[in-house]
Amino acid sequence: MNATANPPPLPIPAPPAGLVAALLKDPARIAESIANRERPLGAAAQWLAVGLVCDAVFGIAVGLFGGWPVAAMDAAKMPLVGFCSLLLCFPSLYVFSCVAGMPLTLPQTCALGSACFAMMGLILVGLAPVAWLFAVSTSNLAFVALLTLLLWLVAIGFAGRFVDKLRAAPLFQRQAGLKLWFAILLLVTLQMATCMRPMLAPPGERGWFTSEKQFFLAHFGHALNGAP
Amino acid sequence: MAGRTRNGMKTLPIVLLKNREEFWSRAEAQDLRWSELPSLVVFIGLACALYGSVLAGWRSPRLALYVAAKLPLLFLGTAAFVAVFNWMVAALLGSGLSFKSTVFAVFAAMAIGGWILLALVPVAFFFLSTGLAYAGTPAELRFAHNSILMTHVVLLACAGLLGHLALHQGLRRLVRPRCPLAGLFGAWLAAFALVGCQLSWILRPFVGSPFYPVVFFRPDAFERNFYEFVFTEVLPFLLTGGT
Repeated sequence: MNATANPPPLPIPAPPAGLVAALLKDPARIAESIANRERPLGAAAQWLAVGLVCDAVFGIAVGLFGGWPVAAMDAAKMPLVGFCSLLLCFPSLYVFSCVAGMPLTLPQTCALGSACFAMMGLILVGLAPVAWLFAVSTSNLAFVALLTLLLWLVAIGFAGRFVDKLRAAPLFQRQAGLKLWFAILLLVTLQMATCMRPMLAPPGERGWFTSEKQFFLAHFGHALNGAP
Repeated sequence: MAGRTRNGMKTLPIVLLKNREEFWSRAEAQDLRWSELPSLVVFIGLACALYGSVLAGWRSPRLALYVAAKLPLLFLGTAAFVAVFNWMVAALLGSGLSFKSTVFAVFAAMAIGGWILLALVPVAFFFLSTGLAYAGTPAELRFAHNSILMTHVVLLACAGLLGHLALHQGLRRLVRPRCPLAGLFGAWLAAFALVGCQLSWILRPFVGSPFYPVVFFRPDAFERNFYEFVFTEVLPFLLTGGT
C-alpha cells in the first residue's frame, strides 16, 4: 500500500480555550470575538465575574496584614474598588476608544472594559501569594501600602499591554490616546480606594467605611508615613 | 449628496465621534456647509457648560452656574478670536485651506475635546464629591483648592491633547503636500494658547479660591494680563523658591 492510502493521522485539535483562558493565551481570539460581536454582553458578564472573584482573592491576601477581620472586609472592598472604578470610567472608555479610531458599540465597550478588568484580576491573583507573603511577615503599614500600590500598577500595566495585543483585529488597529484612559482609570482607582478606606487597618467604630472626605494624595501620603 | 442626507446638521458631532474619517473626507471635498457649523457650536457649548458646572461645583452652586456660562465662552471665544489669523497663516504657508475649512477644522478639534470633557464629567464629579472637604483650616482649604486645580488641569489636558491629535490627523489630509504641517499646526496651537490664556485670565475665577468671594469677574480682570502675572509673580516665586 502506498502513502496516499494511509495518510498519517491528523493531530487531535486542542479543545478551544474558554474566554478566560483566552485572555492570557490568545488575545487575538478575544479581539475577534469582540469585533465580530459574538455575544459581547455574555462575555462581559463572564469577565466581570472573573474579575470580581480574582479581586476578592487578592483582597484576602492583602487584608491578612491586619488579620482575618480585615481580610474579610477587603474581600468585599477590593472587588468594589475595581468594579466601581470601571463603572465610572466606562463613558470615557467608550469616547476614548471612538476618538482613538475604534468605533465600538456600547456592548463592545462593555466587553472590552470587562476584559481589561478580568485581565487585571488575573494578574492580581497571580501576585496574591507574593502579597500574602509580605502581608503576613511585616507589621510595616507603609510597606504593605506601597507594595499593594505597586502590584496594582503592574496589573494595570498588563491590562494596557493586553489591549495593545488586540491589534490583531482590524477594529483595534488604531489606539492613539487609549493609554491615557488607563492613566485615568489608575487615578480613579486610587481615589476609590481612598473613598473606601480603611483598607489595611481594622474597621473602626463607625464600621467598614468613613464619611470623611479625603483626596487620594493626602490619604496615600498618610499611609506611606505609617498612619492607618 | 448621499453624505449630506446621511449626516445632516444635527449629527455632525456624532460623525466626529464615530466616523471621523468621513468628516475629514467631506472637509477635503469641500462638502461641509456653513449651516452645519451651529450643531458643532451648540455641542461644544453644552459639553463645556456641563463640565464647567462640575468644575466649580465644589465652591458654590452660584459659581457652578457662572462657570457653566464662562467655559463655553472661553473655548468658543478663543476660536473666534484666532479664526482669521488661522486662515491667514494657512494661506501664507500654502496649505490651500479655505476660510471655511480652517473654521471647521478648529471646531472639529474642539468638538472632540468636548466629547472627552463629557466623558470625564463622572470622573471629575467623583473626585469633587469624595476628595474635597468644603470646610477646614486655611491649610486644608488651600490643599483642597490645589488638588482640585490639579485634577482639572490633568482632565482638561487630556481633552486638549486628544482634540489636537485629531486636528493634526485631519490637517494631514486637508493641506497640500508641500505645506509645512508642523509649522501650520504649531502656529495655530501657539495662537490658541496665547489668546486662550489671556481670555481665561479675564474670565476667572473658574475653580474658585476658597479665600475670595464668588464673583462672575474678578475686580482686576482688565487691570493686568496673564503674562504679566506669570513673569512678575509666578516665575520670581519659583526662581527664589518661594522666599
